[in-house]
Amino acid sequence: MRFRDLPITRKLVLITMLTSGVALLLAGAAFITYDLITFREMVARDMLSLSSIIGFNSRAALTFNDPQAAEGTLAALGERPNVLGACIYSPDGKVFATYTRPGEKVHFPAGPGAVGAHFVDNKLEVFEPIVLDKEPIGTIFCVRDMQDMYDRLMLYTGLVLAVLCLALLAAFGISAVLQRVISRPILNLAATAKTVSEKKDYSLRAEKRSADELGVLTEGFNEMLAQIQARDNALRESQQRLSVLVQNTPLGVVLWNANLEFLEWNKSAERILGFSESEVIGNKIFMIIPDSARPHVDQVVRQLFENTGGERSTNENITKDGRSIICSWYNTPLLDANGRVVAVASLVDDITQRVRAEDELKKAHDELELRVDERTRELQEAHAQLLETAHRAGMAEIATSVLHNVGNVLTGVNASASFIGETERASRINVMPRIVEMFREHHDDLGDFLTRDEKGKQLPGYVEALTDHLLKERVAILNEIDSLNKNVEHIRNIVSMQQSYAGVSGVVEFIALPELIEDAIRINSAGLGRHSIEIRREYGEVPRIGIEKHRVLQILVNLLSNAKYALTAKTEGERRITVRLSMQGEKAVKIQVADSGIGIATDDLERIFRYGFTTRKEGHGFGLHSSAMAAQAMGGSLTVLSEGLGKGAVFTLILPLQYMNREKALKP
Amino acid sequence: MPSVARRLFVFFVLLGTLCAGCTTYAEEASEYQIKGAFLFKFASFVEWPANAFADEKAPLVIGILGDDPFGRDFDERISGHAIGGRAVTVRRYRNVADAAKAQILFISSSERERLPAILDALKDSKALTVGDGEMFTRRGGMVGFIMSGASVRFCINNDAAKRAGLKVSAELLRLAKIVSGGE
Repeated sequence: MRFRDLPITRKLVLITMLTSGVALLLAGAAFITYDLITFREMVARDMLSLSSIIGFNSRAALTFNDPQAAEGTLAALGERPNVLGACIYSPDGKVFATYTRPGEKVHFPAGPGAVGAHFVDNKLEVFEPIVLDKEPIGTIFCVRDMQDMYDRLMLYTGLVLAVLCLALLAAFGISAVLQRVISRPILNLAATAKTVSEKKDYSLRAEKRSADELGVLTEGFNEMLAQIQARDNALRESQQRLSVLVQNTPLGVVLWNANLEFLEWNKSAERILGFSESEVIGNKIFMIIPDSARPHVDQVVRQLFENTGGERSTNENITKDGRSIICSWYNTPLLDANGRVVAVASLVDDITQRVRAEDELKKAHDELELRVDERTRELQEAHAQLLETAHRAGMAEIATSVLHNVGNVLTGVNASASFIGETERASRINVMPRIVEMFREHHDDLGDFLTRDEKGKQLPGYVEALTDHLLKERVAILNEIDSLNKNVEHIRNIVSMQQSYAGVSGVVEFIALPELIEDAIRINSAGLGRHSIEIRREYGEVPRIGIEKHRVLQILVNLLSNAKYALTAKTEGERRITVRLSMQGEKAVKIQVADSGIGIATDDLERIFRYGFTTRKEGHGFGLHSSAMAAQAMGGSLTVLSEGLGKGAVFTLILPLQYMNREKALKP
Repeated sequence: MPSVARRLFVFFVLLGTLCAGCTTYAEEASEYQIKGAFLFKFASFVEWPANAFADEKAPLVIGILGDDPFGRDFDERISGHAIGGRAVTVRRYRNVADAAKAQILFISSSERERLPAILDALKDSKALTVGDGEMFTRRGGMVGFIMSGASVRFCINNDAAKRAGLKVSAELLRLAKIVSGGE
């Protein structure tokens, strides 16, 4: 079994033992090497000093040429069991004295060699000069074996091996126990991982035992499990949802492979195409495709498997009972790991009904367009009529006002006529015939009658008084006749004014607005005067404008009339209408008719210009509507402001300096 | 340059032959040549008291009292050597009083008859007295040459040396036959 396949526990123990073993071996080798080197050096030093001592002690023997004595000195080396032999050379290089360990054979060099210690053939040889009074008097040679060093080497090696064995044993024991610190969490983790993968139970968790990297690993593993569990749950849920969707969707869900064989077929597909699941699985897709749709479908299929499109297709399909239906297909290529299309998931929707409905809808739409055109034409006509009506209504209003004024003046005329009649009927002139009779009776005795008759005496005074009276009466009647004439003249004026506005529609004139406003006020003057309404004029400088005079007049009359009604409906407080005239910017003028009347409810502000809207009992709801239409028709506008009931109202008429004719205004 | 190498070789061969000749000569050195050498070498193994020398620079004097058996070339052989930092000189004496100043004094056999008187006269001397024969030491001399076959040996009267304040090294004593006597 290879090392990397061993269980972690054994790996850890092996690693520990190997490590400690190698460390010990290296340390032991280093120690032995160091010891041997030290030992060699020590032996060399020892031999050198020993040679020096022996040499020193041999000086006299050398000096006085006494080899026996020298050998006696050398014999002292017998104390050193490792020393194999020694010899002393005289200054002329000859062997002077020797020592050989009993039982050994030593070959002494013929003459002295290099001074110092030399290891030769596992032996240590030492040459040391012998000096007396700074003069060399000879050389000593010693040779020793290194047996003790080899003994030492053997001993140490044995010792190191013994210690190694003991240490490995100890390392095995310790690591066998301590490796659990590392291996147990890993084994635990491995066991958990195995259980998880076998049982697919992602709710399991590994136990965290420490805060080291293994703890982090365990934590990470658990976190991963938690994520997988969450994802698993989410996946299951979404799968359930998807399955519910697939089962219940009104769309047919169809899966087919690269051989163009059906793999999946849901209920809706069965409902749409008639074939049951068992009837289609394993069969080619062409069973639901009529020949007429083959070229199109072939292209879609090719695109799908080349992954170059075909995601949407609307084509004819054929049902089990042979009906031809139109289906909309939503195709999704399913790729394998290499990006190859292995299958296609399709959603199918029967859109036959929709297509037909769309066709019908289109037909209906076309019809509708025709009808709309028609209606538009009708509306345009109606609009023109309405404008005409408004115009006429305006004229009617002016006529009403005129008649009203005429009526008022006629009252005066009538009163004058009555007064004259009554004055004449009750005139004392009636007594004149009796006076004339009296005169006739007393034609002859007129003088007597006048002087003596009681009646005749009073007569001159009576006639005087009568004459006085009749003169006065005449003055009164003449006055009335003047008034009558004036009233008649007034009526004539009114009528001629009405005639000047009537029947001149569409004629643009350059007019001075103040005069026009005055005309409007005059037309309304009867009602205004009767209700003692004060008119305040605030006219600014405006140029003459080119406009359809009678239409503006209609609007102004209508506004003034409305203001009058707003004021008369009020029982108390001042009754005042303020008419303002000013420029509105540079291209328009502004005419405002403000009253202190009953005002307009906020809700009514929006509706006030609508056709048929009125707050008056006798109103027809036409005046403001037609006025607004007329203002718009002239390229201007009519707006109203009121802060509410009882707060009065301000109508603002904007008129362009440059007139836009009716035809232009009609086409926005 | 093979010619140079050959010349060098010839030179060393000749030198070797010469040295071998010397050695032979030394081996066949006369008895007194050896004794002279020994006399000189004793200085290395004997310590004199400080007052044995006049000063630090004073030479070590080897004196010969009586007839000189060493010959004139003895001086030549000794001169130039130094022992213990001191130059070595040879002096020959007839007068004992003069001889008392030497550090090593060889008393010649010619003086055998008056030896006791000489030794007596040298009682206060710091000289290492050397003579021939064991009897010399028995009579109070310090070192006596004796012959052992062809070899020259010596005996030492250490007591006499000690009396003179001299310290003879153990090495030297080990080579010598130890004798006592005198006084």
